[in-house]
Amino acid sequence: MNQPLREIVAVTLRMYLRNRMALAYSYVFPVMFLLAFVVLYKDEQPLLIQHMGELFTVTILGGACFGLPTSMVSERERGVWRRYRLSPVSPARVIAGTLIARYLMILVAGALQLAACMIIGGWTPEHPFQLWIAFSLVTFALLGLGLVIATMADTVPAVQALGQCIFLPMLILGGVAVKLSAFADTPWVLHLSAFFPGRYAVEVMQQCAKGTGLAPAWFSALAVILTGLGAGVAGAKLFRWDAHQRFAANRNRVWLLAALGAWALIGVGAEVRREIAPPASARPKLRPTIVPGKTADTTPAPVAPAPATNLVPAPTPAIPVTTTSVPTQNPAPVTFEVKPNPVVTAPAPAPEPAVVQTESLSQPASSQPAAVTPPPASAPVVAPLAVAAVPAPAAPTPWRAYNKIDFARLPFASVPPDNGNETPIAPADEAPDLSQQADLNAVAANLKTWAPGKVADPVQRVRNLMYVASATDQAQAFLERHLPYLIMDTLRAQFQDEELEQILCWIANHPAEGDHSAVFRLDELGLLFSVDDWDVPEIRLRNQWYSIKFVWWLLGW
Amino acid sequence: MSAKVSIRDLRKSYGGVEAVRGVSFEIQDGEIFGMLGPNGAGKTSTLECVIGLREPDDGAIEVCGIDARKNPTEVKQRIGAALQTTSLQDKITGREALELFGSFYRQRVPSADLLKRFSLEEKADAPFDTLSGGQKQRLALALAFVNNPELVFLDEPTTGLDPQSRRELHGEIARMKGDGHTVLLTTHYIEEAEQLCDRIAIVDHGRIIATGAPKDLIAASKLTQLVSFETDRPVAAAALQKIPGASEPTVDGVHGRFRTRDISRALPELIKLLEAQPVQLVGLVVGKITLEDVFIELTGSKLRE
Repeated sequence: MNQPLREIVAVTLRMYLRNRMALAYSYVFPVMFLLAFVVLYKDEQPLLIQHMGELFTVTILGGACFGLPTSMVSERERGVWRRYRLSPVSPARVIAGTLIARYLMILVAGALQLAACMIIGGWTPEHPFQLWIAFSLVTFALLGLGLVIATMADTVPAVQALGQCIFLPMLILGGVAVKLSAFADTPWVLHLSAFFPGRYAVEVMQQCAKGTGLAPAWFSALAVILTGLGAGVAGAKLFRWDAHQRFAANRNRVWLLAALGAWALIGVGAEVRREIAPPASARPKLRPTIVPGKTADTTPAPVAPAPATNLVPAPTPAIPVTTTSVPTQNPAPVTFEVKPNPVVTAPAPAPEPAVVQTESLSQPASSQPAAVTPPPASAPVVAPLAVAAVPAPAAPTPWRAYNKIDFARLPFASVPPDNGNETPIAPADEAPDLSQQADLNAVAANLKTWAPGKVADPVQRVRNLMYVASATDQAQAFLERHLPYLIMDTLRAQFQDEELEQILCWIANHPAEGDHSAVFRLDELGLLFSVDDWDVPEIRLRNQWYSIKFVWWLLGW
Repeated sequence: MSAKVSIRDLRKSYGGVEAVRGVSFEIQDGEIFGMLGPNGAGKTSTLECVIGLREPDDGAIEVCGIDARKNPTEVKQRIGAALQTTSLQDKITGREALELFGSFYRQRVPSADLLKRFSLEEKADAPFDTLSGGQKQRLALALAFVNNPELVFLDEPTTGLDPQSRRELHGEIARMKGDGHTVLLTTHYIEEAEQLCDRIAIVDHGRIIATGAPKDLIAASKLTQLVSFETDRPVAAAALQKIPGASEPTVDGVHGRFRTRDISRALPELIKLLEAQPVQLVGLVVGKITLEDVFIELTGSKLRE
């Protein structure tokens, strides 16, 4: 670095360190965001590792969109830059010195933030060197935007206004503070976000903090670089020394298009690459393409899926509800007692004498068949299960007797919606982001050797695999909306569809049965949570709901 | 003597307002050249075009033999400038500012020397926002000398300063001449221009309306001087009309006065006349023609503060 540049950097840093307000803004602001993220994601383990991209981007945005232009415009208004202009120093050196100094300030803020997260979360970034590169790329890209703001704004209040115009949309709609998956049902937001550099900034840094590193995120890295180049060119062309030179009178203002053009280019690139909302045909390989009736029996179910009140079609005879405990394939170490629920109606057809002690799915023990009663619209179909120490006797497997009539009687309309908080499933056209995809790949690899997914008993095996999705859902963990696809793929790789429908139907009708020790082995899959005190009845309930959804899915309804 | 600065037909407009309308002048090596004019006359615009702060619309600017419009960076290596108000970062110290700006030049004067020369040693490490107006202006001058310039531009350097600070700065500027520096100074203080400048250009409405040494400008003036006197006995007013070149003679008892453009001839004639009366002269006051009088004569208006 030559001497003038070194002096500018040194003086800028010294001025910054002597300005208490600037210091507070640069370091208190990121700490506040850090605390907010800790509160928001307190249940995730390791804490915050999945949100470093967002956290860093917010910090960089604050320094770039407000800190840099505020100080530049303030100095220009005061005439400091005019004094520079009297000297032979070039504008390029002044700009470069200012940007380098600001980069160092932001880097320190980011390093402090990372250190705090590592201490709080007890983790280290997976690609630390690449993370530094990604952080630097993002910082220079967003500093470029800050430079454009500084050249456009004639006054410090104008900086605030322009900065907010970039900062807030980027935070809310651009995938920085609000995960894009939250807009799964609002495709226009996803399309819009593709034109904001924030989502790429988050992506490229997140992949280095926890993910596959820079290389797979090349498009995001390219988008960040393009953003920086476009803004840098625009900022250099629009640069003005003097407060008397107003932006409106700047003959170079057409160069603003360079910055806007970069945003447009990356947005169009993302659309072309289907990075936003890929069509079903372009879904990632983990997405199952469900073809109803993969087995010989492709006959549609005689009973269309219907709301709970239509679960029993008129021509179909009432199906007796099992009244006693149903045998399990594996004696369960823990069994369940279910609270009486007179409104529960989902039939549990059992071809063999049922011995269910789960009253959630059946009437109290009786030798008489019970007529199915449609539930009130507001009543839960299946009541939450409560743990009790009731031994479950072993018995022959009856699930093969289930048929499409039984499937149709499952209370499809009463399970929570896919876009809700319980048993969520991402829309088919929503691809996981790169970070999620990386984790899904890891889970998929681990599933191949996961012992609970290999047990001989097919029902228990399915149940164990379903726990993966259900527990992730209960923990409201990172992958909860995407894991069901992976589980479905895994199940379909092992079972014929018809057989799978039968097993799932059985699990749906007998959620309290079987072994749940697999729940405590989920950490073997590398899932990002570690909950020792699982609410097993709640997980079983979610297993039941997912089973019903999967049956629906397999039947192509 | 070679011209250190040569300006020809310089023009600069802001929107529809012509601030500089074909200004031309030369400054010789080692000369202190003043541009005198009211606010808005075009002095600062002219100076800012010369030092590269503004792009002129037309005209030729040559500084130290270099075309300043084609090679402004090289010109900046050789000149120093202090503007009307020098703003630096609030928290920068004088020493840091001198180090920073010194790093921009090929040739530089040690900061310690400049701090000493401009009496800033005690305030060398004080933040800029704690300095007084005079100290800030001295720092601005020190910054102008950070590259040991051949040519110094000072834009109204004493505006807003208290009399003490102004006197100190006048001393510094006089010292520049003593050190052989060439100086272009803009001011709207006539006495400052008269005291400091070898030559003056009177600027009004974007044009130079007169150029020359202050005494030459006064000498060339068509103004008359007022002669007032007091005698021990009354003098007849008609007698005063016998003085060659006297005009507007009035007598009020023992007090009399008249105007003349040739004081060296009028005064001996007055003495001769009084001796012939005989009347004894008790007191005599001759009103001096000032540069301000010349300025008013040329521009038709007083200088505005």
